[in-house]
Amino acid sequence: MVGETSVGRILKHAAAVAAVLLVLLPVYWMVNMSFKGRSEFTARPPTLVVEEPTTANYRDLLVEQRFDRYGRNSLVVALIAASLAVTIGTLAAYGLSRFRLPKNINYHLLFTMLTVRMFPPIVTIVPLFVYYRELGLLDTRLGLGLVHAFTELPLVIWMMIGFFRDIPRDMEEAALVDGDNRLQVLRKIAIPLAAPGLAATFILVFISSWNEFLLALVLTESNAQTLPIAVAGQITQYQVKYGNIMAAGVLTTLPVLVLALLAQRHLTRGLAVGGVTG
Amino acid sequence: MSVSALAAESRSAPVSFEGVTKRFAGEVLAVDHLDLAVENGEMLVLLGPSGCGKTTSLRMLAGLETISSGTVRIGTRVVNELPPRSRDIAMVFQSYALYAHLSVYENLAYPLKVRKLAKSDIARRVQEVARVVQIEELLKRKPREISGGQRQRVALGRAIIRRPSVFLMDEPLSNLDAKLRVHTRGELKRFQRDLATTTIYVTHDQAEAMTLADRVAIMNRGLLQQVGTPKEVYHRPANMFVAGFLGSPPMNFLRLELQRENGALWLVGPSVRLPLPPHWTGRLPDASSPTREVVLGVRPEDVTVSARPVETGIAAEVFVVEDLGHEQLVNLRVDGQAAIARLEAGFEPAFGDRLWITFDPARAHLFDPRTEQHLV
Repeated sequence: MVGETSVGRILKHAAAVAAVLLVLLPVYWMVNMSFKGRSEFTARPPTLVVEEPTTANYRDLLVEQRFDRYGRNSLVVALIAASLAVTIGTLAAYGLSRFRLPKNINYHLLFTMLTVRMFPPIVTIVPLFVYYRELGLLDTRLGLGLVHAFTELPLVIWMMIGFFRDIPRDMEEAALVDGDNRLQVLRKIAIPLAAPGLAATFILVFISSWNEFLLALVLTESNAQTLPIAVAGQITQYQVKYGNIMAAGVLTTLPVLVLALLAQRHLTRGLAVGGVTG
Repeated sequence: MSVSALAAESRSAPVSFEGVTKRFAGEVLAVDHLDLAVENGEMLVLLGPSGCGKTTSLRMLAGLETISSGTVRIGTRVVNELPPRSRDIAMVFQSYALYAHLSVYENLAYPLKVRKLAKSDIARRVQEVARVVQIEELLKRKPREISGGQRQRVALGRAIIRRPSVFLMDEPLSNLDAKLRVHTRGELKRFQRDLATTTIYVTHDQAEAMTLADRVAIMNRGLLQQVGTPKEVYHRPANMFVAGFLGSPPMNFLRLELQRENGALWLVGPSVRLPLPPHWTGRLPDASSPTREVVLGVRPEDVTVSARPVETGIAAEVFVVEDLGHEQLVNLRVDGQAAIARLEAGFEPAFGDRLWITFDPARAHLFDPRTEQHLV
């Protein structure tokens, strides 16, 4: 960069490194702790790098506690939530971005949707619990997936509206003239062009459902319990299994980390550039 | 270019707008009672400044904009309520609107694929059209990988591949550079001739309109001003708007008074006093009224100047001279009003020179300054 002193540059880089360390330190500590045995993680002073690594914590989770069950539950719930929210949200967003309703109804609808995210979820917990008991959805993956889809729907609609607005109107009109109806235009033009946005949105909903704790805690019990609840379950009435908590944290974070890296790549836009001039 | 194979199978239909009005929300009148009949196989250019309603008219014909009132017909069919796909039209957009995620081949094949043609037929026609618009070697590329001129050809190819009964073109050349634009303009004209398909072409560029059109329809502020062949609208403009919009530089307008003296009519200004050309006298409506304001219109190329006083000349002062090489545009001041003369190179007036203007009355026009309508 022109005009920047080397001292300034060093300071800037140092600040960036410090920020990254600050964020990564707990993650490192989690991984570090997850390989420590019972005697080592209570050691004073704590060991910065694990000295006698053990996989006992992981074994306890995966073999004794059958952690994969929770993993499968989380996966199914998150897939249901992301698929539903993205499907419904995409249709709604396309409608709202392409058709102007009278009296500014578009705007009012969008604002009303946001209110879903404005109140804390705990407010809805009791009525939801009662409904779910009546409907037989308590402790089912479908039930939890539905709730997650519903809470993430506004986010999906708002994100997808942005992506759809980036698609040149001409391109869709050309398809209409060339012989498509609106749904065909959505399927053949709008969705392929908004695909990176769609993928990013899907992954965001997936992650948010994967990590959701409160609703999962109240609405599931033994059959559909998800990973965050299982992690919390390592704190029992009699003891706090620190090693297990750390290992469970690692196991829960890993899939999401992979997804987040994918999302990062998909978040780049610009596919729509090139079909029109400029 | 072998368009003949395509031409043999091409179809065409006339188009008519009958009292078509478009009112946008907020009561903006974009198109006001448009009555326009486009003949079968004709190339009609809709010309006007931006916001004149020409694109809105085209979009109503395409079905991309609803019609507030009136009737639009393609052939004998009223298409008011038909979706774009059922109107048997093809459109070339200003931005080309190529499908960015599809290859050039897939772009060309798109209208055929939607209509569920057999794969082999599609392949044959794509090759055929690609040859005609000269993009055979680009079929595998994506739109972002080809140049603006090539994109324009793909857009044109995508329009002609379906053999629609009407082509709609919305400023298809305006994104090309000047040289390519002139070249493509010629090709477009040729295509249209060969295909003999009704074409409605929207532009704000009068040179494009004059060169491409069988007939030009000039619009302003949602109102159709005049329809006619390029020659008609240029030489016999219906009003001051048309007269001023066509031609570059535009027609000169000089506000004068029409006065009757000793039984003869005179055009009079502070430093102007011309006898009204005799062939105008009889055709002037209510020529008997004593004094009235008129606007004299003369095109820059019809102005001749003289360095010496001329009896029927108008005194003028040179304001600026723009030398274009093969000709020069002399900006003049006549009684404080601006006028331009287009002169051949060679005659070189200096700033501030006093000149005398004459013009051929047969090529001049009189307008009513209030209605702006053409008088004679």
